Amino acid sequence: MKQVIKQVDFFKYLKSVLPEQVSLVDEIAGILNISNDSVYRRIRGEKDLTLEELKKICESVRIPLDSFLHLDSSNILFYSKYLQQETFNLRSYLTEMLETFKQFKHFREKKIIYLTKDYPIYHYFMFPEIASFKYFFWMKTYLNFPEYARKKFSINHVMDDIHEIGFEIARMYTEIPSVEIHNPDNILTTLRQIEYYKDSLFFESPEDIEKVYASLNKMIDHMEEQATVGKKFMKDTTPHMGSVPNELYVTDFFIGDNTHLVTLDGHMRCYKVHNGINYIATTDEAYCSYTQQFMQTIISKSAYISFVGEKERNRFFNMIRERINAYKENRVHTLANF
Amino acid sequence: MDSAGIQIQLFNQIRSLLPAHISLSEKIASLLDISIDSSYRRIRGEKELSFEELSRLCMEFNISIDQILNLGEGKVLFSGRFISPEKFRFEDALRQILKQLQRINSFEEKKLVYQNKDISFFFYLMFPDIIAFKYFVWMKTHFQFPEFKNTPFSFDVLTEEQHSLIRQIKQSFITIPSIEIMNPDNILTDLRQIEYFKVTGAFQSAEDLKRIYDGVEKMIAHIELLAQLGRKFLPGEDLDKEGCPHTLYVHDFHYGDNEAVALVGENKMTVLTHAAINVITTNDKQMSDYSWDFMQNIIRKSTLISVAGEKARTRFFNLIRDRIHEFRSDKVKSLIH
Repeated sequence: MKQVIKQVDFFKYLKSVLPEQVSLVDEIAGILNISNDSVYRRIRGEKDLTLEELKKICESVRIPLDSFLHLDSSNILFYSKYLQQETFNLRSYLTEMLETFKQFKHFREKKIIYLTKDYPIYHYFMFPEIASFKYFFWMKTYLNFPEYARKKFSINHVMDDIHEIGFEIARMYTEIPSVEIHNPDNILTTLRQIEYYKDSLFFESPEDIEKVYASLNKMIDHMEEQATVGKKFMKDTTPHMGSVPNELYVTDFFIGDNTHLVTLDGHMRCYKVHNGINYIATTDEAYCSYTQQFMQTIISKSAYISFVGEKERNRFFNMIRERINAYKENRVHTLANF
Repeated sequence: MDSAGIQIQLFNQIRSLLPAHISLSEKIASLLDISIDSSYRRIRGEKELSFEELSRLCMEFNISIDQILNLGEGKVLFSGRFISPEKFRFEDALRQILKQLQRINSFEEKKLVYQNKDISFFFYLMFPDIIAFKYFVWMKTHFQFPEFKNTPFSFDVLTEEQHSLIRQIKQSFITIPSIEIMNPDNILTDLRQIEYFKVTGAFQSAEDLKRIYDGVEKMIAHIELLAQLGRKFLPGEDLDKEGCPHTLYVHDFHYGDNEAVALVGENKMTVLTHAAINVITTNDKQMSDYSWDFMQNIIRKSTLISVAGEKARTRFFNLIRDRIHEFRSDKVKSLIH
């Protein structure tokens, strides 16, 4: 049987997390609004804490109990936010993403390793037409916003303020060294989303479809340009002395799950994407280390195409372009047009 | 929420984790070494749990006390172990899966809803040649088990113990009603892995390669048959036998995450996959309700092809067969060609 933790152990733990100059007894007496004698009785385990008192103490001192109680190594604590129609706000979602990147910037050593199922969303943010399409798809199809129910997509409805935030996120992403592990099938999600809208007559005009494809092609071109020089930089700019490394590996035997592993001054945190564009995040050491090791294994089986590996790089990006063309020219059999 | 309310919520969560045939009051009485009457008083919130009792229950059932006390919004406690050569081998993972399925099966009301990135793991298990190949790929390539280094693929790679666990998992799986959401691209991972092993010379003969592709085609034919009849059964079983409902929806606009939500009595459990075939699970209500709603949304945009929808079903499975044929006849360009 696992070792049981007693109330006296809890108070010892509490004392260890309080600043040295703070008196445990005074602090608890203040939080629970009881006498010092009553606090002593609780500290010595003579009087049981109620769950309500326990909650008040933990809320006030801001300590999690799970890490204290759970000795089982199979538990992983994730932080989560759920994007819901009632509360979701695209601007807040993007602003929060931007703030997270700003936090990353403060660390001396930083790196993102991305195991892709789709392309990292930050690449889309540089190109307004394809970014708008993705935003629209999230709102209409993933989150079912009522105001989008009868709305068709047009690039004329581009939301400039949203783009500014997206563009800033893309810029921040180019300032953090990254390793991306791609697969030729990563392009399929976006191509299938475009196809779904074509089949459902959700584009306002054929020109809109053309422009979305053109924008997607520009994004692929820019990804290739960055891989060619092995550096990250924004579209319509050139790499400079301070540009950070862009390490691109390609594989076609494993499709990732959009997991990102972020290392900041030696500390890891892992973001796992689920249900469309939701994510859960953890700093659990065992989970992050396992993820890192797994990513290294996939990397060891992949081809490196940044700066070196011109032939493989050409082949990889041309395979993607062929796929875009096949969808654009309606040469692909889908569920709707077979 | 007052102490009694928090306590009742805790016991509700514990109840959802227990197999249906286990009595909550007896389990609590035995764990806390108290009488059944005292156990009832705690379950009803009439007698407060001590800190020691609380910590014992949370550790025993892997329950997040932070969530119960509502400390810090947005925390979700997952549980899971990860395959490694030293600590947690494939048979351990199979045991973990079997235990989960048995728990789900102990409830009268149960259902599995699954949104695929790949073909469902349970279908691999139904075809010995396929699970042998997948096991080999996972252990050799994904988890780098040392005994697989420099070893060519063999169909006899699984141990008798693993076969026995697989038999039990298959039997357990077909007794749980399920809803699956598939995409024609779900087959790509398997085809790309075969291609990778073909190109790297891991197959001992052309006959082995042919046998694998034949296995993939048989697996797809079986999934199609299940869809046609809307029931779950194992390959080779009597088709007239009564089976558990199996509902299949298809779409081609969303690539799933190999995520499942299990309905277990009045509660739900979310299962996420991580690093290929590792699974992490949570009983967190908010997470599971959200995942359930997300899947319902994808279902609303999908086509039902089990029992009904013959034309769409034929189209879907022919699309998959086209992909198999393209790989089989070397028409697909891979990165190494």
